Amino acid sequence: MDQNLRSLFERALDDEPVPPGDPARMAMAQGRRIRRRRGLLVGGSAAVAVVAAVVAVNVALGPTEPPRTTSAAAAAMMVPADPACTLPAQDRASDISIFLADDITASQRSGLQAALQADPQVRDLRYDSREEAFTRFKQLWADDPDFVASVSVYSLPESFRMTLAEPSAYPAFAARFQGRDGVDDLVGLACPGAGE
Amino acid sequence: MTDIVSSEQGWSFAWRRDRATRDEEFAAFVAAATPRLRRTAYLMCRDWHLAQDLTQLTLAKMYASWNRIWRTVNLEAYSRRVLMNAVFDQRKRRSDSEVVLADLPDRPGRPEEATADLHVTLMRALATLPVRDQAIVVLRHWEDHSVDTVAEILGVSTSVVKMRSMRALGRLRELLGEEFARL
Repeated sequence: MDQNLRSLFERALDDEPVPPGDPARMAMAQGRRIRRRRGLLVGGSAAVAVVAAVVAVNVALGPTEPPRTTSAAAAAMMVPADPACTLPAQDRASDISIFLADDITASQRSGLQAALQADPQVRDLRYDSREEAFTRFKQLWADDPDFVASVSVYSLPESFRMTLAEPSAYPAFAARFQGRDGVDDLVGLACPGAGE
Repeated sequence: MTDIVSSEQGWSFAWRRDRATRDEEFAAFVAAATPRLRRTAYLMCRDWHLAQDLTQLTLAKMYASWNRIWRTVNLEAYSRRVLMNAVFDQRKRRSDSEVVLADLPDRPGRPEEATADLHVTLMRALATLPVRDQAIVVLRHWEDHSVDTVAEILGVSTSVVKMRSMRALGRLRELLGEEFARL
């Protein structure tokens, strides 16, 4: 049976077209965009400010520069709305986003959720699906439909959002969850006065 | 060389060299893995254009996480898992928005012998299985992964893989009929 299946599959693949372009270069360009978008999804009000800053950079660079390739300049401009807030946080954080890996399994996801629910530091735990992230993304970029059209719901990550009971517990909290199976990244946002 | 650059330049140089190495290894991975990923994607969706998009998305997502995964995970299994998740996502979205026909369009005007058509029948039969069963069949019997690896890729137990695999093959045999037994 195995041999039969294999040879039939081979025949089904006979009409394979010639692959387009340079897949590594295309993947690297698209991968950098995915990475950048993750940054844009961090935090609520902070993300709005980040978006505003990125748009300002794009406009400032004018029409000769492709606007979506200004990552370094945009990153330098990523200042939260409240200048007292720090993103990413260093030793204190009030708002946490845990981005889930693309290869996460259902059991890793439910295990992570249970661990977060049981964690004494976690307050207001919320799950943000790809669809919800995409909806929020569309709202944030409502004034740039071309950019929204270039983004697919699959390229945005799922995440857990929460606040910490004590911002000073951030380093220990990050150490508990960063690098856990199914976690792609953990990002903290620190705003003085929040979560105290 | 290091004695003529300042420490800051040295750091920047090391960082760049490190990134260049990572990018080189990524490019090497892409070159080695892309053809197989694309064929697996095609067997799952039966559309070369979509297979290309799903493969490209898989590679892009891997590059976005490359700093974390290179040299730490089994890239072969990891890439299959990202690809299959993309396939499942795509299928779920499509089934939310439209009615999916399991049947493939026939290719008229191409006279073929009965046995030459068998692969078309197989692809059509495969499409009638639940999508995760399709994944098990393709990973096991096209990619030739072990039961353990398939279980790891799909995030289920080995007994689930064995059970679903047996059921899926039984169903394919039923749909393909005698022709299949003869081959």
